[in-house]
Amino acid sequence: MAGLTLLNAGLTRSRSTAHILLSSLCAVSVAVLVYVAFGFSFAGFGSAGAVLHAGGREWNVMGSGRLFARSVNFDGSIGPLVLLLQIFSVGLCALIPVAGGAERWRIAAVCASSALLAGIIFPVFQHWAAPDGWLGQMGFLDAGGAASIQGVGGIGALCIAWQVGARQGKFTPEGIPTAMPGHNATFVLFGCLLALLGWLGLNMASAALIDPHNPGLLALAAINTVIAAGAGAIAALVGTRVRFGKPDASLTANGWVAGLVAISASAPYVKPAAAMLIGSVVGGAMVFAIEVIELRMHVDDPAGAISVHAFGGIWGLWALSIFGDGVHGSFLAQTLGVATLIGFVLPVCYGLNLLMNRFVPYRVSPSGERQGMDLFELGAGAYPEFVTHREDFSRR
Amino acid sequence: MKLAGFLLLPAGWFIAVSAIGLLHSLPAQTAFCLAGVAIEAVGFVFIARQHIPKPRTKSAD
Repeated sequence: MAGLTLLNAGLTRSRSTAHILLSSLCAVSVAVLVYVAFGFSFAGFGSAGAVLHAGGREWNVMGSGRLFARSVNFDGSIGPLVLLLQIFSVGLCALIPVAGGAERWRIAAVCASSALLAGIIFPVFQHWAAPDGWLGQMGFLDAGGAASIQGVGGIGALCIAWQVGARQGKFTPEGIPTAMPGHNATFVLFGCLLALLGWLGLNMASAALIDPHNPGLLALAAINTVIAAGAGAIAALVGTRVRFGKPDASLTANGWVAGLVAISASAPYVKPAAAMLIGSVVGGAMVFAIEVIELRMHVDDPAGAISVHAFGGIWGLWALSIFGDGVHGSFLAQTLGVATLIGFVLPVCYGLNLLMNRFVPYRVSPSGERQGMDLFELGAGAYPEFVTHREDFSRR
Repeated sequence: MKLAGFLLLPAGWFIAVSAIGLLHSLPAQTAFCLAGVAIEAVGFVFIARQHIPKPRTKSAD
């Protein structure tokens, strides 16, 4: 979470740095509180609150744990570990849309939208994708949350970017996008390294939950995570070098994160060579995906969250069926998971945010955006010593 | 068109889910599931096109 926050802050302009950092903090806080209060009961690990019977099958559509995680027994069982992992997962998921609405999304709206994500969308999909949910029962596999964390978060980022529109000056009146470079490459690249540490924990914890008595599985998950990240970064570096003549630091960083995202589904299930291929494909393709989203779809996504998390997550789901051992995650089940992300999560997420936008306006006023989100919403900037005073430039 | 897109998204999903519930042969299930994803893709394109702001032309003066 710290890594992604730094990455997002570095990829936005300096006048909104404190705002995006605080927005990220608020998003994680609200998401965790709402998830523990309500969401975890809907996710209902191990419980079947609502089971439909259709087509000769049982469709476990919603969990029924007790509110405020009271169904978790702190008695030495694995339950508290599951809750802990899900708390980090929902925090990570809530961070992703913040990047999609960076520099024009108000903090109150960030909190409201994060509550919707953590209270409704994330737990419902998570329950479906869990081994006892209807998707999981069909063989759908998502070990480290490529769908439930990255896919849902990336689609949330797209919905937010659509709701709030582009930043002022991002597109010319003729519709041509202009470059708005991030303000701090150090944040971006250091954020990548921090993200790796977090991802190692996430993927290894997921592997531990799959088989707690197999330390080799933990090592495989960790090895694949590092390999996919490296392959994604190198593929993006080569891709930008070939396409633009020079390697691009921010796109290479996004390639690194895209590799992490893509391997999330399959880290404990594929061989290292496959992890290398999974990371390379997503790192190279991500360079083009960012272009398509900006140039063709005219979506202003300052940190590339949609391409990295939504596209990377979907590729990761299919990659498990292509490069897996044939036992885990069939092509049919993974495709059904992708169909659920696009056909259920996207319209529900868009609709809920559209509704919330009526009550809590998402977009900052034009004057506030011109002034910068730091000064307008927080009253102080992240870099007060960088203020340019007119007297500094007066003729002496 | 945006409304049509938002109708196509769940329609494609229902086709994919129904294929699993109603059909029994794997190739048929896979074909219908992919068809559902294709319908979702068409819906997504409709929605994405509606979110592209129309270019503003400069006034004649």
